[in-house]
Amino acid sequence: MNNALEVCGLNKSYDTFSLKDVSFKIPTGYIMGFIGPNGAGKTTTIKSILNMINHQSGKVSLFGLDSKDYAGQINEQIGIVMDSPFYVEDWTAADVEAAVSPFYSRWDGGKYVNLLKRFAIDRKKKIKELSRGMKVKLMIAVALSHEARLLILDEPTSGLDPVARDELCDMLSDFVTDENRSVLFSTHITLDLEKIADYITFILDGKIVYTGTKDALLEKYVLVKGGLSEISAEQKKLIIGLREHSTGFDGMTETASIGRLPKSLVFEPITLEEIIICMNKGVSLYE
Amino acid sequence: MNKALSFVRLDYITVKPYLTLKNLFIFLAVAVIMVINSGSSASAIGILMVYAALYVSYPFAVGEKNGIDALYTTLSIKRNTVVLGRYLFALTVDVCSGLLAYVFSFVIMLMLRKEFNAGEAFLVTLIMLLVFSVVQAIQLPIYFKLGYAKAKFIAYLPFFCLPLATVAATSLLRNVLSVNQITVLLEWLVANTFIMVLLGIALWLAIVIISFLMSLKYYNKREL
Amino acid sequence: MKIIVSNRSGAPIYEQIKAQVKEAIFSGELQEDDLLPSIRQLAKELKISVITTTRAYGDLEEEGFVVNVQGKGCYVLPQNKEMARENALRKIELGLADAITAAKAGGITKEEVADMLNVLYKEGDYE
Repeated sequence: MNNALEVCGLNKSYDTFSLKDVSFKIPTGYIMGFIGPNGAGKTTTIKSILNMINHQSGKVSLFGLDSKDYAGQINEQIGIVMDSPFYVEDWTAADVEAAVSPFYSRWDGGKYVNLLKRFAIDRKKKIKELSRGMKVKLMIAVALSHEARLLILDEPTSGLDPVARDELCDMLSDFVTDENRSVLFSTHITLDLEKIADYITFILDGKIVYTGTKDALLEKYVLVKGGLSEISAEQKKLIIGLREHSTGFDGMTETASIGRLPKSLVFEPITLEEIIICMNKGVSLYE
Repeated sequence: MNKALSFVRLDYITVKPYLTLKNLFIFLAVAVIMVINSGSSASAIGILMVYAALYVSYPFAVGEKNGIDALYTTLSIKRNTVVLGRYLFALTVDVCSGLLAYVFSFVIMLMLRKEFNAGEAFLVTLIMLLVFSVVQAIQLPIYFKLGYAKAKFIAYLPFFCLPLATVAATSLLRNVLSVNQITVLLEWLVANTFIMVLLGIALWLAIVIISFLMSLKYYNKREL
Repeated sequence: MKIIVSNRSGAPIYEQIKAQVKEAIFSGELQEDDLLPSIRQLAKELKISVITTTRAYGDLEEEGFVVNVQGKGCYVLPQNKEMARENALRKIELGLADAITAAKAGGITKEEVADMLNVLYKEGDYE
């Protein structure tokens, strides 16, 4: 199976933050969720993939082609949705089409008009007059109107209400019913990904902590709770993101470690959000 | 080349929301007042071209405010194409504004029932075109290197320096050369207009090309 | 065919899908050569990952319930009478165990339970 996107050993340093050896792959036909706390490096990674910033080392290939050498052909096939549009705010939806369509050889004007109608976006309204949800829908309309095979979304749902987020998830699921298309969806609202993501890449502090299927990640860890007296100091080391309070403790542990912990503890299935929180706490404990 | 032309169109769409009739009317009003005062069309042409020349900086101003460089990257427009397209846009704006200024001044003179000197107007338009073009040639690399926000103050200096420089140059000449020598020089220049025109064009071309190469270098280095 | 999945039921989602497809086959709702919804279509409708539906269908194929035809989809295979019978027996056993527990708790005798069985069976015949 071909990979829609392959990132190998991406490195990029700023003064206060750096991406270290970031690597992951998205097989064609699947949705990958890109998660991590704010400031973990999601946007920096995505901008490096899109050549918006220069990475110091590493290789990015899209559809099997190197992203720098074939930038011209590749960008045609990528649809991009960022958390705020990079269009002139005084443009209307019609202006956006006039601006971008000459640069896409497979622009489908009819489809664009239909999508605008479906999203109830007034062609004559200026972008700055649109609500946040409408702005995101406009970017999606553009992304879907040039036969993109890979959709890259960077935090598109922050600021959207649950109804709009649900609609977005539906659209993405619909997008990959064609197995030649793929999605990279970066967000810190993991509720959306719990439903539709096939793969998850988890970045923390510029480093990839996990990349693989969502099911495997959710099976790898488990929530654990118990009384303070039930657990020894040795056993506490097995708990990631340990939180102790007067009535007990909670945290996360690897499912494989259950055997080494007392049976009296409560073990529960974990959510993506809890994994992020516990991992993040775990990191700060070791610093 | 196709992409550069599409880029010129993109620049036009970028500034289109700001090409308001209100702005145009203000400049037209000023032009009419200046013609009434001076009696010739030259000042009208001048002021209208200033209006147009200002627009060359708009793609930078508007673009930077809206993060449009990210759009250029997603449309896979190479940096060199951006620079070439921007210079072509400036050229287009200059030529169009020259034509419009010429026509407007004709209309204004007609409405004010003054005599319209076609030859003089044409010469003024041409000279203005060259002058503004040179000013832009100085401004564009500054914009490309620093971005609009940081550059706008510096970039407008040429506009003010040029009249100052002209005054300084003329007074210098007057002090250095005697009236006779200046007359001889002017006569020689008028007699050899052909050579003068060629020299002028060559100089202009050189300035524009150097400016273009500098812009290419600066913009390619910039981290956005 | 009805397929509903629940995040809270405790069973992994792919197991839930498998169980419901098998149920539909055993009950006759799904016949031989019927086409199941495509892997991606099902994922989209249930709002779950494509990998989960792929796994469910993959297991069903391995266990001999369906066959995946490249380019067309998953077709129901002719049913193994043995398995249908075993499934039915298992369900009866579960149902009877429940009934017996309830009977003992309520002080109902075995004969009364057997009578009820006969009556209900006959009623079933008139449906």
